[in-house]
Amino acid sequence: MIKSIMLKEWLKLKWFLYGCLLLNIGVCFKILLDIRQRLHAEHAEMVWYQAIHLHSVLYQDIRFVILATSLVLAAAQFVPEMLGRRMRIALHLPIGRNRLVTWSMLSGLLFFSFVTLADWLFVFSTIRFYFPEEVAAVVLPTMLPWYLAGVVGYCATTCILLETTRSRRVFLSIVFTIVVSIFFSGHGYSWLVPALPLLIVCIPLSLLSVYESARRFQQRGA
Amino acid sequence: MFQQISRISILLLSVFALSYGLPGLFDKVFLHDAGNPLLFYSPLKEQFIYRESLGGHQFNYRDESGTDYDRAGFEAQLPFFYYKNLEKKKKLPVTVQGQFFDKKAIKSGKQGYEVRSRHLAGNYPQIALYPLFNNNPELPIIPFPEDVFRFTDKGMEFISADFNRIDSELTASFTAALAAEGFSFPATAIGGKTTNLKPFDEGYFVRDSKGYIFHIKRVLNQPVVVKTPISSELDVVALIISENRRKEFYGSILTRESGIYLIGWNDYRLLKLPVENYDPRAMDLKLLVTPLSKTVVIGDEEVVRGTVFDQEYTKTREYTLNRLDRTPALIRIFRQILFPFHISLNDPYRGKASPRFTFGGLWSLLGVVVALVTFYFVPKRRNFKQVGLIDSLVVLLAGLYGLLSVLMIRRE
Amino acid sequence: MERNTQEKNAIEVNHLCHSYNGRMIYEDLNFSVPQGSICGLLGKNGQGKTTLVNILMGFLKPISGTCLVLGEESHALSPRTRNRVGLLHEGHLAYEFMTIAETEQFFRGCYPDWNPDLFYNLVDRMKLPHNHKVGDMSCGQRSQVVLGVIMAQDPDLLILDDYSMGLDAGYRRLFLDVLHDFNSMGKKTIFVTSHIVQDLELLVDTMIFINQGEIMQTGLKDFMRDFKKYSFITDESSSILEDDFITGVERRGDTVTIYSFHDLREVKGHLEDIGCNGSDLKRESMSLEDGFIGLMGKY
Repeated sequence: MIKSIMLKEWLKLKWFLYGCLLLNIGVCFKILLDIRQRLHAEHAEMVWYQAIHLHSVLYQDIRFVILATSLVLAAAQFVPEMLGRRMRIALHLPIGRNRLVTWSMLSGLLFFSFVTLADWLFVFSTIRFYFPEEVAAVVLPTMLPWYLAGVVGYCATTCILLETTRSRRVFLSIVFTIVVSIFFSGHGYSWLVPALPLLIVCIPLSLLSVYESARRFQQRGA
Repeated sequence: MFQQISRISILLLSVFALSYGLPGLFDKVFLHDAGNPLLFYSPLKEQFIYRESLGGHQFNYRDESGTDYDRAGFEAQLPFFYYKNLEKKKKLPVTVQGQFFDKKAIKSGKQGYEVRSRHLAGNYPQIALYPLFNNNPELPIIPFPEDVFRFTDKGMEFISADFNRIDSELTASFTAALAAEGFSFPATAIGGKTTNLKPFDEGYFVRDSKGYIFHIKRVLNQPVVVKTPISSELDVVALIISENRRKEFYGSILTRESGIYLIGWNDYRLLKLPVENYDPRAMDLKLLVTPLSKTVVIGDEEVVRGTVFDQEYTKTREYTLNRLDRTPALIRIFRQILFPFHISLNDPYRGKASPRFTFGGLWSLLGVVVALVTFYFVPKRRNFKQVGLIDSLVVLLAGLYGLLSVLMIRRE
Repeated sequence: MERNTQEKNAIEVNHLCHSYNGRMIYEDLNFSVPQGSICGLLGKNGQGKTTLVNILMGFLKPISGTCLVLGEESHALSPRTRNRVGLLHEGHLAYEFMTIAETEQFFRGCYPDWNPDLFYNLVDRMKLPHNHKVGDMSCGQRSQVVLGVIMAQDPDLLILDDYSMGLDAGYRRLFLDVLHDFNSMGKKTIFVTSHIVQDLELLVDTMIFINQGEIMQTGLKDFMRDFKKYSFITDESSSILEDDFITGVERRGDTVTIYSFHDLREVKGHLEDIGCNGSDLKRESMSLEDGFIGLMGKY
């Protein structure tokens, strides 16, 4: 059963995944070229100074691309299910609704994590190539909130698509927008790290929220 | 049960988001951003004089005794800070407390030294790589070095920015010089100014693993290392360097026991500033030196406190200014009623996220009661079971946030 | 005892009540569909047919009352029971992004009793390669894939929501053939709705008519026997109104067609009572569609 669900999600996602991967790698590549150009145009030590002491995050272009990726992947998974009420097919499969939702989300999040991991590897390697290891080491704590924002964005898109009433959709949009904006707050590297133990709680809350929307979706006409 | 957990999750997420977003929005619209009051000691009045922001570029200029000034009157009381006004009016030299001061005397006797909590190690994310400026007396400017250094367990390592590689030569010479002075690796605190926008460079003050403090400079690309006589017993929080032409002190050492010690020029003798109740981790400190006196101003979100010293750092006068919230009382009460608590990540004394949970105040209790009453009396609709224990609890604990959440995410 | 009834009845609806946007659709709906029967649900548009099918399929939770499908609440069927229920959704819903082979692979992993031969037996009749995308198929071809899927599941109960929608006569007949074969395997129940009423005549053994939130359940044979179509010629311009006696009236030119559960003599007498000359009243042969119009009206 799980294999079948993964197959279905894969079939829906694969072209979007390729597209997102291409976009993400493209932006990563642009980051690499920008850094390279900056190092050539200015003195390397000045770029280092900006990255270390002025807290310039030279790879911050990727953050909204990561969020967009999560939104696109969630939409790619759930919009086809909404069109023509196709979700009814899955909801009738001999598997519990919550398990169905879990595995569907897991597949989407797995692909999203894969893309983000590729971003991190690319950015990390770029930074490591041009900067000392300390600068590369903060890539992870700096990018982690962006990834978490993506996970929240993914859950938000899923919830909002599954919701059956406009008022709830609007309310959830506001709530999730605030939560996502929190993950993008601050400036410079590692700024949000002290808040991560608190903010990480938003992840299980966001993930769990989807099940209530899915229940309402099924029991209110799917 | 699982469905209930899922619904509670949305409620919690929504309460969290609203308690972060709504007060922030409210403050943006209604609150007066007062900014920091400026507190000075006037040698003419021989009392403190200050400027308070009323919001919207409006200011109050007042002294300790309650006399109000206009801007020009305020500046006139501070001849050492606003000497350029006097210069324009050709009123220099000026006589203060019976002494004559010309422009040169004022400039050379004046120093501003600031220790901002958000710039202390640990209060902001910091990558421990620093530029060590090369002192070359023949050059009129301080060029930026093409490398940065780090301290490891084994030595002081230099990494060349052009090649992103360790510069073994520099590394070896500095490590050897440090070792020769008895430096015990690694470093436990590093203080220095990483900018070249300064009149001269005094390198870094570095505390070794045994607590000894070393003064490290680079002169003509060679290490100059001094093991200072500063006690290794000090529980150092941070080393803040000042590179000022007065050359009275190198900078200061902040310790965990709320002490601030100035490091004397040349002899590295420590001078404890007699400032009480100063917590460097949550307060900003300014030392304003003028040719006649020295003023230390410390401040947090509640008060700004000034202490004046004579040239020998003997306390002569003290003044505490309470920071006033200029927001109309009604708006403040309304804010308390609306918001039982507020979650925020920003802290003016931190350069990093600092999660804070702030209770609204006594009026918030009224807000919670109003929210509960509203919750129980909102018209019932078919399909909805309105009053449940969990929902009541959410409204009780989260007031307006809870009310909005349970009304939008209704129990079915 | 109750368990026994539940086992005998594939579907059991008791005191069902549902409203939509504040409008009451049913207040107290009761019926059951015995195991092994083929039951057709007929009703005009807007009478709550879709709502009832949605509740039966588990996509709506009724406000009150129960709707049991194979003994379980329809909106909370256990996966085990869902395994025994095959659904054909309106518009022959299928995963259009899948090919034939992927569809088979997907559903094979979902149903333990999956029979690939049954699937391919139906699908291969279209002579399409297995890598043909469902989204690129005609409505009729897609319906074959969907039919293949539900047959290969080997369910005990089939709920078909307007299976004939968009299908030409050939595909509709194919459906009937397959459904008959399915039902003849024993203890297999079919609950079906269709806009093409005459097709149901060839399929169902029980009818449920739904009208303004009320239902009438009857055997097909009983209905075709008891409900009658009459006609007579008249030049009177006054119209005959429906009443307890005459269920439906149609007038085309001089010919008046009336529908009633009563026999010829009683209807004649009734016509006389209401001052209408029905002396040449005669019984006509009646199709199920005629009966449907006669009973439910045209609009």
